[in-house]
Amino acid sequence: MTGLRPGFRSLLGPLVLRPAAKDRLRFLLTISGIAVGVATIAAIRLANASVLSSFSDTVDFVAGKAGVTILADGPGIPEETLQRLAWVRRVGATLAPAITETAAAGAADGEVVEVLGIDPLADTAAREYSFAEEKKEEKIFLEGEEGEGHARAANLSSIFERDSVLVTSVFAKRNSLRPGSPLHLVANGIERTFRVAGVLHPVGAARAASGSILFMDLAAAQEAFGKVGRLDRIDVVLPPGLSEDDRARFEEEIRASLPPGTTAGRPERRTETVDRLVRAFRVNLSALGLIALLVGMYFVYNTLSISVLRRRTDIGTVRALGASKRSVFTVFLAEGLALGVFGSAAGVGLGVALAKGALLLVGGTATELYIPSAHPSLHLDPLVLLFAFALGVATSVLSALAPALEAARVDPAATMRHGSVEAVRRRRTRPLALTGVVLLALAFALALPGPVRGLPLFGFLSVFLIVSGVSLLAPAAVTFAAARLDGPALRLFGVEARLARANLTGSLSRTSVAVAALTMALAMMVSVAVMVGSFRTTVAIWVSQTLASDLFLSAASGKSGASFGRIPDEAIAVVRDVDGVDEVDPFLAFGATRDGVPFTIGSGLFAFIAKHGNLPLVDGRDTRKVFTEALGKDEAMISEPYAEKFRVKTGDFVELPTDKGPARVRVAGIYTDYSNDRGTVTLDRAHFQRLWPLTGAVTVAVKLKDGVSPEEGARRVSAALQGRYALRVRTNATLRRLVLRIFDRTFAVTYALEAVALAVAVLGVLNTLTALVLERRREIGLLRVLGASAARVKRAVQYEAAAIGGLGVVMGVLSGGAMSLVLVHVINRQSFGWTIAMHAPWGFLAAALGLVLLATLAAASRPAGLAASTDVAAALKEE
Amino acid sequence: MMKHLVLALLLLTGRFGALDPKQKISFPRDHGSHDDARVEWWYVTGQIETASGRRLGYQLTFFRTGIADERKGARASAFAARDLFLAHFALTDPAAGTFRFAERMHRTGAGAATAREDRLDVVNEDWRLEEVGGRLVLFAGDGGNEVSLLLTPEKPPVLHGENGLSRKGSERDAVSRYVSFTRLHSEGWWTSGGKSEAVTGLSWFDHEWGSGAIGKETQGWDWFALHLLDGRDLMIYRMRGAGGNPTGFTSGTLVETDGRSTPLAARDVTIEETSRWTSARSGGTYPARWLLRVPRAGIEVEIVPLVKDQELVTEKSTRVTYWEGACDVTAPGGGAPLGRAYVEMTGYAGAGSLGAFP
Repeated sequence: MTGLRPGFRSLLGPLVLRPAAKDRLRFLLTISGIAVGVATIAAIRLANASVLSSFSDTVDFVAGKAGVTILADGPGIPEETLQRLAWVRRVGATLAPAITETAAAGAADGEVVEVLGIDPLADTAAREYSFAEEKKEEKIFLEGEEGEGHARAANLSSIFERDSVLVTSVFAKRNSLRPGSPLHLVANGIERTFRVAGVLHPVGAARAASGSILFMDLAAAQEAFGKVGRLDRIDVVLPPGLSEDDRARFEEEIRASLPPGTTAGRPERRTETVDRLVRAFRVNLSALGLIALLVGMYFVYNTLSISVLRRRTDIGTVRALGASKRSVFTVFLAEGLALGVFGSAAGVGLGVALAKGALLLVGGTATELYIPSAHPSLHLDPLVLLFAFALGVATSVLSALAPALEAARVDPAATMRHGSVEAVRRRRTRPLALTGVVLLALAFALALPGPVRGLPLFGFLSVFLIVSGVSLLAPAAVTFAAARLDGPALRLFGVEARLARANLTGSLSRTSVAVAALTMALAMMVSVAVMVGSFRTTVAIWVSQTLASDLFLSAASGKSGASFGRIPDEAIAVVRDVDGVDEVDPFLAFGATRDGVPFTIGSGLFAFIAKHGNLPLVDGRDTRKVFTEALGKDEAMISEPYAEKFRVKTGDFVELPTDKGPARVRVAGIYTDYSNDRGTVTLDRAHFQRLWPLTGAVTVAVKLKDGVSPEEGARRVSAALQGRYALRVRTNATLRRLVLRIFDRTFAVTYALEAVALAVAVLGVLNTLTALVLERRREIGLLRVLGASAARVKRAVQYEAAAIGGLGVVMGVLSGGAMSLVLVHVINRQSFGWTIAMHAPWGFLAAALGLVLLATLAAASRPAGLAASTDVAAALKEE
Repeated sequence: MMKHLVLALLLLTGRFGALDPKQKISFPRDHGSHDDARVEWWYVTGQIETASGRRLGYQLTFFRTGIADERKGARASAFAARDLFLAHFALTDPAAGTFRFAERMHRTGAGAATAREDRLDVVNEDWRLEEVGGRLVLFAGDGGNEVSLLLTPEKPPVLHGENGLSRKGSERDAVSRYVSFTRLHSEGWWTSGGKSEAVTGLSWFDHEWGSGAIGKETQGWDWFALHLLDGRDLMIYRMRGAGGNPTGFTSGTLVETDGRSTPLAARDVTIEETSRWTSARSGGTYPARWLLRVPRAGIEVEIVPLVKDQELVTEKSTRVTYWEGACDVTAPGGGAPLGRAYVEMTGYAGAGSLGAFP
């Protein structure tokens, strides 16, 4: 007898394939829902991995064969360090010192290139170079005269010749350069002309920065970039065949030979630093992707629940024919799996396409903030794709569990009785709502603890709990709202409203799922919009407060607008002497690390800030007074992100790395700063220059005399600099616009994600209504027979859509508001250390919510049309 | 007129100048580095013996080649590559039949190589040749094979040619300054594989500098430095042109036991090659045995390399392929030992095997 029982395979046809073929649209929608979630996750991870791998490639290519890289935690390694390390040569190691710089090619806003100043004699031990032209063996060193008749081929020693650089073939092609071509480089505010001595194949070091790198002699680089006496890195190539223990011992002995403020380690640690820098950014984006996937999960649940409901009769029949509960369960789970596989596969494909766009955004943002010369190219990491795919399939199967269980529980005898399932559902409304309330309480509790290893993990958990808690409240909310529709609404909208109301509660399981999905998407949109809007307003207010000067000067800034390099003191003096210039405030800074976490050490004229009081303090104290005191006592001011990140308070001491060992400086106060999430310790310029041998400025703020307009001042300053220094001169207004433009570009990703999630939610409403209409074909047919016009049937569906949309909007705004509090006060603060004042973008929210309502109604027009065009005879024949 | 003015200006501003024949050589200053010379080297060769009679030949050369024609202080960076410092160290072990060499190259400022100007003190990483109280202290090593020697001059420094001016070709500037300590009593230590043994022997120190060329016609040269058992020392160099024929710029110096030196001209010397050896490494074919006669001084000797292969292919530094080796000096026909010698030969392994000065 068992042989005749319908098994898994024989059930696939009637329970899955046939319905799927019939409801192609709904299945396509479900698949696309999963696809969008998977695509978002895949795209963000791909883009992020590509940015990181392009950076780590650069680190690897530059480090070459070095086993240990020595870096300085300050403005550079004193060059005498080479003498201290002379002993390593005796044991067969090679020292390859280098200067690293960033410059702009052609003009101050030209292509950004990395410059590596090397010792060609020592460097081949560390880095590989291959020349694009034919390379002839030749002797150049002991020859008094050059050989006649044949031109000298380029080799690494060509850079000994004055003003010579080697470029990569990629860079040469992009800028139409050939050996002998002149190349203008702007670095530290000065334009210099170099000569291309040779072109390198994209091999070894020439692959760094995707080819945007050029090589010059160490001495020339020291002189050109104002780094005489200093080195930026020393790569140590270890003797071959060292055991891991020996290597570690070697590294330890190297460390013992280093001056204070200099560190030795494996070259890879630089990648870890950058990974840390972009981590907060990546985690935030991934969290948004997860929300999109959550919406996709609702899709699967929705589709399968509807499948189960619609096929109750079929399920009853196959169960009566002997199919086991297990087979039925497996079949529906398999359907979830199939949906997951198709959706995830499509999602991975879509993700790759999206990643190209995301790369521009993530890449653009990350490189602007951290690595100005990187040109990350999309790297399709199979592991990332597999992860996104697996995540999509797993969530689909997970969402299919509940409907599959329900299908297995179908009582063959009860399948003839209608409404029994919904009765069960209604009874479950209350416990669900209670669970929702508990989750919300938990969400509140989770918003309180601090970050975990610098990441706001509890904050994210809190957001997810808000989302899940609110969606569990959806059935209760639908019931509650439907009950309120009695009375006035019914009188106003007539019998169609009554129909709509009956449908809302009658198909509670489906309508509440649609409401929940819409709520979630809207909550995400509202919260992110409030967060970004608050942030933007806060930054805009801060910028207008702090940008008190009239003009701002920066060294070469490249195409991306990220500035690098320093303005020489001589140029600052020129600016100070311009007629109409009242005061100048040079800002000088460099990057350092504290326990491996990067931060910035900066300096300005405290007297300037004390006079103008343009930097608000976190605790509301008087800026003028605090800065005057700090100036007198050689104390430091720290930025809010620094205080947050390292848990430092006013009155604490901070240790700053110098050549002579750490300098202990007392913190006089904390100022607000939205320009740098790494955190900054700021000292007065004179104090700073006593600790570090640095001159010049990264930016210079200029105050003009009364009566000189910014435009006129900018014109005069530019004229004075003309021909001598290539600096960017921006007026206050231009810089403000630039700051906000960079801000908007940074958050463009979040806007894109919101749009995607909203589209998914609106499609969800369409999906639900379509299902409901299809399921109610018999009822609709009956209604039509009883005299209801097609228009009325249509209107009933539209009212239902409006109710779902309205409920979604209300719940979305409420939960979105709660989530935005968590985003602003917990997640943002813990990720970046910024205090943000809440500023809801009311106009945007109103417009967006209105649009969603309209979109929901528009989405309802198709199922409404479907309802109106129901073939009465055919529908009744199904009876 | 204009041309002369430009030339005069160049001479005023440039770093490298022609040698002034009237300039008196004075020590210890002139054992040190000469910044206005484009090329300069310090050469020590010698043969030493352990107490058990094991014989070794060694060569330690420090080169300095100026690559930037700028006065000192013209550049701000200490790394500004005014000079490249190259060094070769070779050790011949006839008992084992081995010859090994090492080479180094560094620039100014990297902290790895220097040459003092006020006295002899040249350094390349841990290799060093320094004058201390009239003696030379030398250290060199390569992979656990080290020599550490104290060299005591047995004769005063010798100025070759006229007042130390040694002519290498027909061009006006094809001259260099060339001074030597021809006989240095050597004692010290040889360390190999962690074991040190006391050694004694005789060494020869050459120091040469200049900015000029070596003569267009020159394709290579042979250089002989002999310590004769009778206490006399003999240096002979012979520039070779196309086809290996001498260009006529052959010259030498005979140093008597008491230190007096006599210049030798081409006509005073005959050199006959009696055997050849071909290098598998470079493909160059070198003379491998010579009959050397200086009838004026009553010298007629045969020179026999201790090891055939004493060729240096210096890909990592000078990129010159040359042969520099320890030899025995005997009566012609393999007769009684008459002394010891070091021989250098360049230009036998193709175009890439030629350097500047011997």
